[in-house]
Amino acid sequence: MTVIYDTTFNWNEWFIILTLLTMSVMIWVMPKIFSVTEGIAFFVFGVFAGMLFDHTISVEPWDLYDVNDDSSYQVMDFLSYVMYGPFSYFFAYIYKRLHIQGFFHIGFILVWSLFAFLLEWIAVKIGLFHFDKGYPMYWSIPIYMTTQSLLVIYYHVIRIQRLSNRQSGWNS
Amino acid sequence: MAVPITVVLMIIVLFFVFFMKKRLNFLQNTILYMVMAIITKNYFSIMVMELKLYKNADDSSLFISLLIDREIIIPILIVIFVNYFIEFRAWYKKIVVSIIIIGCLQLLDFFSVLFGVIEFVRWNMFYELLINMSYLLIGLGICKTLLAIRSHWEGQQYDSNL
Repeated sequence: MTVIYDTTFNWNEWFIILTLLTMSVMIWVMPKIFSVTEGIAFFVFGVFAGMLFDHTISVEPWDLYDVNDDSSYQVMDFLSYVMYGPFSYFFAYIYKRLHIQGFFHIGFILVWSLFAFLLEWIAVKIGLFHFDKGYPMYWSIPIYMTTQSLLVIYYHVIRIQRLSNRQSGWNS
Repeated sequence: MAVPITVVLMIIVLFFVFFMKKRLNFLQNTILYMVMAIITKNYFSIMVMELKLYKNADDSSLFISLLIDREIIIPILIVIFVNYFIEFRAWYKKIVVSIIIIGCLQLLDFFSVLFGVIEFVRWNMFYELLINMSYLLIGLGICKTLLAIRSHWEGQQYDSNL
């Protein structure tokens, strides 16, 4: 049975559209430090990870929460997952810019997880997420930390691959 | 029974993709994998939640089997297909690899239905065959796009010391 929370085009829709537009423009205007393929990979990673968790724990049989105006799957739900893309792109971007090394990884991932948690709290307040079915919001913190750790590993695997390709004389 | 079989298939497919000779590089293969996983996730969600042409199993262990199919086995099979398809020059080899991969995808669907992981509602294996063929075409489309991006932006200006 479809649960309806809201039927109007209001803050949750605007939040998705504005965030997506603003972040996409920022990707466009910021100095490029990745190749196009690398940029796409970091962007797609965010969409992939967001959908992986949401399409696992927010659908039956677990169905712990709902996204946007009702419990069905809408275009705006899809756009809300695309919205994760710029965040993962900027995670990798800032990670590279700040040259994060050693124990600073812990601080970096904690700060990003808290930032993501804050955004999620705002998203709950404006009706983007509905945790009425009993999803405890603090579960999101380990999920964010796991995803971000995987992104750091992914970044380094790409870097190692690039270096090994360069040494073998093949430009990836 | 469904979960052990799915895990066995997953391990075989993962080993296969790890050791096979790949024409696309790591970055291109991971993008292809992630985009295909996004497509399969959306496909299953739309079929179950919106069109109601599939029914998910209520049992959590069977749902884990569906997750492994959706997130790992299907996208990895497409990655294997695309790499072999662009590796082979002869058309008969391309056709053979297409038939083998479609056969694997059809078998996966057959087992999913047999063990109750998914239940078809106004849906059948022929429609599923069309969907599986679409996966292959989408995979090739993504591959072509990635290769075009690489050739167009090869000389671009960026700090390459990632």
